[in-house]
Amino acid sequence: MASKRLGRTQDPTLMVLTSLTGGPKHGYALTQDIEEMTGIALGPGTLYGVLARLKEEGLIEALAAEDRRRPYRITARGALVLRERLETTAKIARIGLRRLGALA
Amino acid sequence: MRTLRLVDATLVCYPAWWRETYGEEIRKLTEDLVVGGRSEWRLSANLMRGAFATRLRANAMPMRRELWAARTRASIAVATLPWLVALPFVLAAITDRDGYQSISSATISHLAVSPGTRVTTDAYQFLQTALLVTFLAAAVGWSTLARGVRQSPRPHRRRLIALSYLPLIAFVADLGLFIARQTQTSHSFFIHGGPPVPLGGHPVAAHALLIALWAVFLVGVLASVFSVVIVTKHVNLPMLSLRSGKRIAAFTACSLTLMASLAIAGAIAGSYGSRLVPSLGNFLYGGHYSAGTYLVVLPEWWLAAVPLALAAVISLSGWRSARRAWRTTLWLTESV
Repeated sequence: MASKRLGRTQDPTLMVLTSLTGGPKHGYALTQDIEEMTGIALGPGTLYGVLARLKEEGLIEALAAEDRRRPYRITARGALVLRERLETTAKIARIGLRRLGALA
Repeated sequence: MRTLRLVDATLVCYPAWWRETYGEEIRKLTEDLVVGGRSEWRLSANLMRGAFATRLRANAMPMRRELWAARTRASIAVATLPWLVALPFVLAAITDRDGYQSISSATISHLAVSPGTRVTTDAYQFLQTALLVTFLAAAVGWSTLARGVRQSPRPHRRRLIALSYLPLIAFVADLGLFIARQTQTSHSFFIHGGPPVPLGGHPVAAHALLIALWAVFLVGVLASVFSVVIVTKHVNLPMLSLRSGKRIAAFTACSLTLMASLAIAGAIAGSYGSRLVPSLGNFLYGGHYSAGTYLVVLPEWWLAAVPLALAAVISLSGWRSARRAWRTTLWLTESV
């Protein structure tokens, strides 16, 4: 129950950027990769809302489309923003786990 | 290409600029997901949420002046039209359909000392005044729109100008029916402490005219909403009209919020005190004081409060969107 509640607060932006660090991917490849990573099946409306916003902010870029599938690639700025974000998340995770260990 | 009727119907809900950029990709993705075993219904529901969010926030909308000007117009319409939609409910709630009642001055003195009745009386009078002021604001808004349509270079301008006059035609038709009804309504004379004595008029004709009045009013409201939606969608209004529209949107949003608060206050106070409220007619026809009889109405507060609260929420969100869209449109216009 608690993990479900945390699951709803997962940030799809972070998932998409993390997925794209593994190389350029189109919409379907992204949803599959994110589902494998987190167990969350992103819907097309959510995914393209995130992709459009990231593209507008210059964190990802669109590549040439093949058979109506357009791959997206993370930009250098996107990688920098993701690194900062993951480092903050990792720091919180480390502190949280240490404190949980002290509680046990 | 696989047939996905529901998905296609949902994709239409996205703005045109979005469909131009992402339409093909998102269609292909849903095809792949359906082949992979996902439910078309769930995918469509997710797309519907996405379309709603895209229209609401305009995230990733290209920086093109015509798109942002269209968004400003649409947002102004979203901020102002709820007033028109809430209007029939408010009028039905604050006018007594069974005619005014009369009570003696002794009873009104008793009512006046109740705090609940004081609140309902004040709320009722302020609500009537606010409604009158918003009518004037709506008239200014309509004239701004009609002037903007006349100045725009759009093809089929004549048809759009004719369409923009629909609200005025509806208003004039209703005003004519209202005056006709007044001429056919019996006038009541109040004898000290006694029941009203009807004098003159044709009650059957007055009743028929009342039904016609409401029918024309409701049709007029729907026709006005339709005409404003069509006109704002198709006419590229000048910047001056957009700026005036944005101000009218702000005024409407604030007025609706005030009116909703008054109606809610009246509803709550009415549940503690008497629901009878002395009518504005007491001030207009001072003779009733001397006769020792007061006119009272029985407002249906919640009938006004609920639509007004909904209208206020929608209008405030439209105003917020109009402010942002206006700033971007102005910036894009000045950049050119």
